Amino acid sequence: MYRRCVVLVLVLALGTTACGGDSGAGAPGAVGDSGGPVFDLSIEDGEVLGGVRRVEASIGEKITIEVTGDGTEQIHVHGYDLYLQLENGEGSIVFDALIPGRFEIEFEESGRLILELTVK
Amino acid sequence: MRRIWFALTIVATALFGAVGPASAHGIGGRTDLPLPAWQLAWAAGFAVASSFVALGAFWSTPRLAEAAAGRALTSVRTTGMRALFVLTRLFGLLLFAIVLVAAWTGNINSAVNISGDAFLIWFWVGLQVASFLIGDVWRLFNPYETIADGAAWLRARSRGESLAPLDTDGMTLWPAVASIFVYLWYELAYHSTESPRSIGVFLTVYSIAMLGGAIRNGRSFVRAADGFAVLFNKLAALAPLFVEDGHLRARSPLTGLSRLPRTPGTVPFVLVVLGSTTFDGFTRSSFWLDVAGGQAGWERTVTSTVGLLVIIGLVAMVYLVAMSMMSSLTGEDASDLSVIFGPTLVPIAAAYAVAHYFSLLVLDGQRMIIQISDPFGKGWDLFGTKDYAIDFTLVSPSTIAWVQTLAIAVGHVLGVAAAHDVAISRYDRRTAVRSQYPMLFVMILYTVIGLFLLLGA
Repeated sequence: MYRRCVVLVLVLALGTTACGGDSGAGAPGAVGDSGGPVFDLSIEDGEVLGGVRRVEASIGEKITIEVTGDGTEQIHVHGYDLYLQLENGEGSIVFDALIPGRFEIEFEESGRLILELTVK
Repeated sequence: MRRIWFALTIVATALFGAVGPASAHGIGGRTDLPLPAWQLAWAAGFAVASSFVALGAFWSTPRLAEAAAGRALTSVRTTGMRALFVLTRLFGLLLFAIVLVAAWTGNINSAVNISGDAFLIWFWVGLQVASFLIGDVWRLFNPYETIADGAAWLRARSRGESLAPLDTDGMTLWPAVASIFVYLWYELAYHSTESPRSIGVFLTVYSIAMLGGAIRNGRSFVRAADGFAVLFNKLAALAPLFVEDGHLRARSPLTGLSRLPRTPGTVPFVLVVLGSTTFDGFTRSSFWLDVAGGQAGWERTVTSTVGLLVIIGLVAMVYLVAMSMMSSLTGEDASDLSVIFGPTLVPIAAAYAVAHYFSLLVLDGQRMIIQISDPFGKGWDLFGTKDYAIDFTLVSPSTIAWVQTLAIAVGHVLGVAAAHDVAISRYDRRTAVRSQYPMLFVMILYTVIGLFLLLGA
């Protein structure tokens, strides 16, 4: 029974590596692509208008997040560990998407989620 | 006793309210990319296929139980081993103290305070993995056992007696079910989990409950009530190393499941843990984003608490429905069956933990390298690692996906194998095969749900 289990696991491992290959990693996008995606957020009363969106970008792209609205919140991009202090409710943050994954972007003070960014 | 619990709850809630969300969080803001659909389909297909292969290739004698005794490696009752044990226990006490002090007095930024990552990543995830890979290593460090046993020993000494042996007759794990649920609520539903002060409150209240209970009910209380120690102990049934009769022994992995004591409360315990990891996966879905995404603070906590209870309930219901189906097929009582087949859930729980938390351990867990040099976030550099840069590309998304799929599929195969072994040790071959149809249904359902959650759809 034990040997059968080991064989099953090996078959599984081989199958996983053989089929489909490296579909997760992908090639990095054009580095230094200044025409990278721009995401606009409108803030009102400490919440983002239109609800929390899920947005995507390719690895290597230059991402711009532009915020307009009211308040002087501090925005935190998880994973990349970037902070943006809004002044008069305005601000923008530009960074290279070098880390793959799904990242929460939120208001630091209230912990409220405002955007979810997926970098593939 | 009930009044004390009530008072503790009030105090804890008040303290949680007071410490609030005022600090940055470094943990949990990054999750994995969705699992590629082809990988999900492959793994699900594999799970279903292997289940039927296993059914057809049903072995006719219980194999796990035979191999569970293992072989002895070395005695643990030598002076050297006992001294080592004292050292590891003291080390565990020291680490616990450091985490408590860091939580209460350290920098409130959770990214630089060691308490968050130490407790939520290295302890919670790291020890689960160590437990099912190596053995019940937490027993070497457990500060609650150290304090409870130490206090009992001192009391016995002062009376001129020797320490009475541990009395676990009539012990149930229901207190551990409660304590692990409180922790899981704290980790998954409470809105300010990573805040060092919140961790301070949680650990303090938990410790008071454990040690207060030990003072009142004797030192065996912590064995029944400490959800963490119970979880690591159950997972260790999958591991090769264990201690019995004063000897360190080695056995084939998984075989320890046949020896898992059927203490009342074991099945609810595993179902609560499994349900909570399922809920954690569920919070990555776009459905949850729509429902709870814009919420913050106590509003989010309430929504998450409801979600946690619902998901745990659903996971438990799947198992109990299968048990009642098996009851009609075998003529045995459904609640007896749920206890007998309970251990087969342990590989699934381990698999879910790896699938959901592997990347957390390997990526966010690197922050610990910086934090050991500056545990309280005061600007120290004890080991020269202050400037270490976390490498979030240490494991690629495809590696993470591979680990997740493999974990869930292997957990499935192990769960099915364990269930077969239990069935064949109780019934004749025909009844055993028939009894496994509901069990396979449960396993396949858990596997497909586990994979589906990784889609983060």
